[in-house]
Amino acid sequence: MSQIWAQSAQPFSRSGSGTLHVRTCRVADPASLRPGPMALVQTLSSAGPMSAGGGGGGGPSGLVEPPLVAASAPAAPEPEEPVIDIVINNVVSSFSVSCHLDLKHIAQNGHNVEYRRENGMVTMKMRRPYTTASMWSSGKITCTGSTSEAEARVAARRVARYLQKELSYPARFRNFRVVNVLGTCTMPFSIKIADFSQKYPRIACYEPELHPGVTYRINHLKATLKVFSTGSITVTAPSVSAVQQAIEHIFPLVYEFRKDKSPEEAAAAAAARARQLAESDLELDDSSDGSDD
Amino acid sequence: MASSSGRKVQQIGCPAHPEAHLIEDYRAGDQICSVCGLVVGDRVIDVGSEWRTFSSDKNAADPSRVGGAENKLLGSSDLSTMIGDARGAASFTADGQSKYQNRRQMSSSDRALTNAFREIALMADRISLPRTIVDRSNNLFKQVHDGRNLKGRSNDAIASACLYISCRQEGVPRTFKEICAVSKISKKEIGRCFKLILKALDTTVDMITTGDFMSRFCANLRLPNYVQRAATYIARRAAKELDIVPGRSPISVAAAAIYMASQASEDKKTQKEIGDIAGVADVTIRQSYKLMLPRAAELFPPDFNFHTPIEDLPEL
Repeated sequence: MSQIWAQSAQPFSRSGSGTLHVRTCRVADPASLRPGPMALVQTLSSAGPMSAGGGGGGGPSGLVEPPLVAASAPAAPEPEEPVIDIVINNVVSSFSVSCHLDLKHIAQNGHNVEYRRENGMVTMKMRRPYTTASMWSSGKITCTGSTSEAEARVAARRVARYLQKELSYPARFRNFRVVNVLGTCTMPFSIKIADFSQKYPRIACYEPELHPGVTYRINHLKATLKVFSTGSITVTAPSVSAVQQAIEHIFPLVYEFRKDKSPEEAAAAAAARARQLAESDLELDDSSDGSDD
Repeated sequence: MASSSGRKVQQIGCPAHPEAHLIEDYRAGDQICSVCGLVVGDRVIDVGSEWRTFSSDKNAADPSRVGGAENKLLGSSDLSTMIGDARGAASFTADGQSKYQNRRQMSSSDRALTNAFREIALMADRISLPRTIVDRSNNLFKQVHDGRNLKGRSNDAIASACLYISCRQEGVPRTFKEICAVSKISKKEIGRCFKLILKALDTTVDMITTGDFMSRFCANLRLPNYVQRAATYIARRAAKELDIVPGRSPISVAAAAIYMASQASEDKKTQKEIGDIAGVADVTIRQSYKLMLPRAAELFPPDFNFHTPIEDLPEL
């Protein structure tokens, strides 16, 4: 784990020429990336009621291996490749069960549901995968909180299955599509967002009074990226591959405005990360102890 | 003499030179033949002004005018006559009711525009904005209104956003909070309308800098001129040249710079006072100040005379 962080912390100046080649962008399953906050939630919740202790929220929950973004031959072979890890935090999907749902009946007889009359929808939370499904009386259901496209599909099917079995609706799984994917990634350098926003005046919107980040829209991918001065970037896009393409698109643009951290700042950031690692290790140890009973 | 019935002839002509062009002299009310100088027309109605106005007082009604100036923004469709307000005894009946009651016939699109212009003028008046900003704001509003992209939004919100944009475009930006203070719309809504208007009109605005607000904040705090200059210098160095405060809003940096400059001079202001004027929370000033304090020696202008030396600047 520390290896990933160490890689990310390497300065990019080893590239030699001013241009940067995005070598590898790996979309990581947060369960395998222990320091991630989502991973924490997943492991905690999975270690709770399920007796299967240890390990993230199930192995095959979507480790996406996209094709390597090919770089042209570098000037000199590099000892470590700069890797940017994109963590997918949220996948929102929508599907239909193609039958009318009686919300009051579901609210009274279902488990883990809550009914909000003013919105006209029933929210059902599932433990594994940890997701929330919002159902409308028309039969349309929106499922949020999953961490990969495959997991979203599993969660959606589980909701439909629950409606079918427990509440005996003639439910069918139709029209599943992923609506929105939220991913975050951190650049190993800080970014001068004021200059960045001035270079792209129409596409990038920076209003320091309204939001501390630059909002950059990529129209052909339908992606919206928020770029922050610390180097974090959040992307919302219609699919996981779009998220990856968006990051690849923005990387050279942002690399131009990088600001290498001064030694004190780098030390401070490393100390903060080490602290975070230690805390998450502690919590995971506690939870795994609990589930080993 | 003039026109015979039926046949169209030139109305008046010089008897000696019927084809000659007539020169009209408005002062005397004559029409003069251009060839021989004979005066052929008389008592042509003088279209000069009735009154001679000498006072340049804008507020006094100009007696030469029959009505107000036409407002180009309000659409030139409205050339109808409007009955004015009831004044004088003759406009009231014996019971005390006004005789002419129906005064409502203005076209509805004009009504929305007029209301919005009045709102903009009111808001601008509260913060004493000059006429140029108000006019620019009215123009923006008319453009947005005609474009109809923001049709669903409240007109007051669009008006506030137009005022904000015009202040920015004139080079004297006001913070969102200052516009909120004179408007009943929330900052969030004004921000949303602002972004939508920029997209609808396909314009961009310059980014705000720390120096834009210095004179206003310092004047409200009644700080002497040399403190204001020092604060401007500090803020510019911190934000632009040394980039010590990444990601901080320029307003917060400006407030922290004012705090630093005032603490080093005789007239010390507290963070709370500065926060009240600038619309920034005092913890925010504290955070920016903490970032700036380690490099205070580089930030101050070289010719600043310190009432309190840099080592004694407060740590908070």
